[in-house]
Amino acid sequence: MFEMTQVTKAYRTDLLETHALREFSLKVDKGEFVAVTGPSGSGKTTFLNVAGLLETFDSGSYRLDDVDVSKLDDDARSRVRNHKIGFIFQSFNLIPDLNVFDNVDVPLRYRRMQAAERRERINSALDLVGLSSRMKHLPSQLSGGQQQRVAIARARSRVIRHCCSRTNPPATSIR
Amino acid sequence: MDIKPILSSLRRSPTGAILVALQIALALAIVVNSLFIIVQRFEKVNRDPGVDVPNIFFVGWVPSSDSYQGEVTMREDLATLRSLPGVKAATVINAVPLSGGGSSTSVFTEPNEKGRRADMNYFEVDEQGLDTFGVTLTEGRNFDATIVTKPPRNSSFSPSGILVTQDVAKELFPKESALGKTIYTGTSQPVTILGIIDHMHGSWPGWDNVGDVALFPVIPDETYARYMVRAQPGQRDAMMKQAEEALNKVDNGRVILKVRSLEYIAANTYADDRAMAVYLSVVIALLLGIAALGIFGLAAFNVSTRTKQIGTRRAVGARRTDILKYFLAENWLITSLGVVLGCVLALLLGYWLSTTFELPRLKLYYLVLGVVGLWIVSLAAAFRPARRASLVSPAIATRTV
Repeated sequence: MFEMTQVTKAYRTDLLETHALREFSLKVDKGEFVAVTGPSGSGKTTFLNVAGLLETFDSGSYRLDDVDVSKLDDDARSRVRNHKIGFIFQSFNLIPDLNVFDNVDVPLRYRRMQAAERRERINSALDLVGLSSRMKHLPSQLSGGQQQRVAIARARSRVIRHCCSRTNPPATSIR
Repeated sequence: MDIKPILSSLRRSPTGAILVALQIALALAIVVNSLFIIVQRFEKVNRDPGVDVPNIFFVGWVPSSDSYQGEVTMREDLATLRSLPGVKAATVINAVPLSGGGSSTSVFTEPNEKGRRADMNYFEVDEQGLDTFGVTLTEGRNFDATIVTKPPRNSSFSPSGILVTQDVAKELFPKESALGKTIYTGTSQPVTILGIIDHMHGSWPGWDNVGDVALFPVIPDETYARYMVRAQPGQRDAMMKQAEEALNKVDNGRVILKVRSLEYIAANTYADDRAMAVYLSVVIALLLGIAALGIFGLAAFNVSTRTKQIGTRRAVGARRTDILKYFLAENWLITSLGVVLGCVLALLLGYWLSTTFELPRLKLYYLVLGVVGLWIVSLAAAFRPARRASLVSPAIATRTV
């Protein structure tokens, strides 16, 4: 379960204070699918960064699976991101030096998972997105759509319980 | 820490890593051999010379007028020196120990240059020679004044009895005591070993057999003669001044040229060794510094060009320590490649130095020390960029500029 209550987030410079989230509240139950839309500068990215534990917030509360994540230290936040949140970035953020297999492997390695189990999950995830035959390819050797599918496989290779898609429009179509 | 992804990254863009690894290899080869030479020099400089270096000084002189009377003049001067209250002992001597200049001869256990042979550095001294050097006998006795002789100039005189160091005694008689044994000069004149000196160095610190020394009961020729004085502990400098003044008061046909402490003379002799050690230390420091800069530069470059990648890794679950370890491990791999190559280069350089300059062969533990040292230097150099990488926010992953 995902529950944000009265969350506030402001960016400050010496001259300017920009309120990106102002007393923002949202509750998403298990199995629900939510899309966040809005004009540029309305705070979608900030919301997703906060929701994905990529950034902290100033006030309010945020509970993920009944855990108050605002009280977690940096290591614990990393663990939550690794175990509970899957990211598909707008520009995919594949690591250019690693092939498809190793890219999908990145989050699994940080979970200290055994090699055999990692291989099984990676193969399943790549099967799912139809890229089993491209697992030795580098991202630069793939089309944009294929790169996006690798990013999906990377997010899907874990036991995903919440998936925050960072695909801002226009979205690349997935066949 | 899994190194496979790191190796994959290094394989994709190997140029910088290879250049830094080569730099490390060259640094290791030069640092290890330089360190080996420095340690050898320090060992040489810090060896126990056996003689009482801090309290000994020398008075150099030359005959200056007809009133000079050879041995009589020398005896008068020695009596003057020995009468000074701060003087422990004084002798006339033909050369200065640890100075780089002296005399040597070969002796044999049998006549006609047969039997076992010892090449030894010898000093011509009188009956106070032993005390003036501040050395002790392990066997036998010191020679007395009755056998101290001033041979005619250019004669092939050999003393009837001499004192030798244990090093000489062992070379000549390895299985038995040398005390009382007769040995023979190159002209087959017999000489008896009257006593065995525990340990002392001779004139040439760079000679392999610097401990092969003998004391001859001989008043040296005026051409080489000088006085060696041993002061009471702590009174050397005062005695140097008093000795010069006292000798200058005696008008016996010789003029005092200079008064120098053995400490000063030995320091001059070892000056090249010290200078070499300092020079090589600077070379080592520079090489390590340059290697550290190379490592730092590569690590900093890698971090700055992979900021988004670091953010992505953090976003998908990497902890700060994972990022820190990633960059340290990457640097460690590059350094390890360098040290493997460097070990080969170091051994080749060591072999070349040992064969070309007759230096001892490089000891392997210096190589181990060098490898560990470079690992530490490289980790220290990479730590700051790696730490900067670990502080990259995961939110970087979502930024498009």
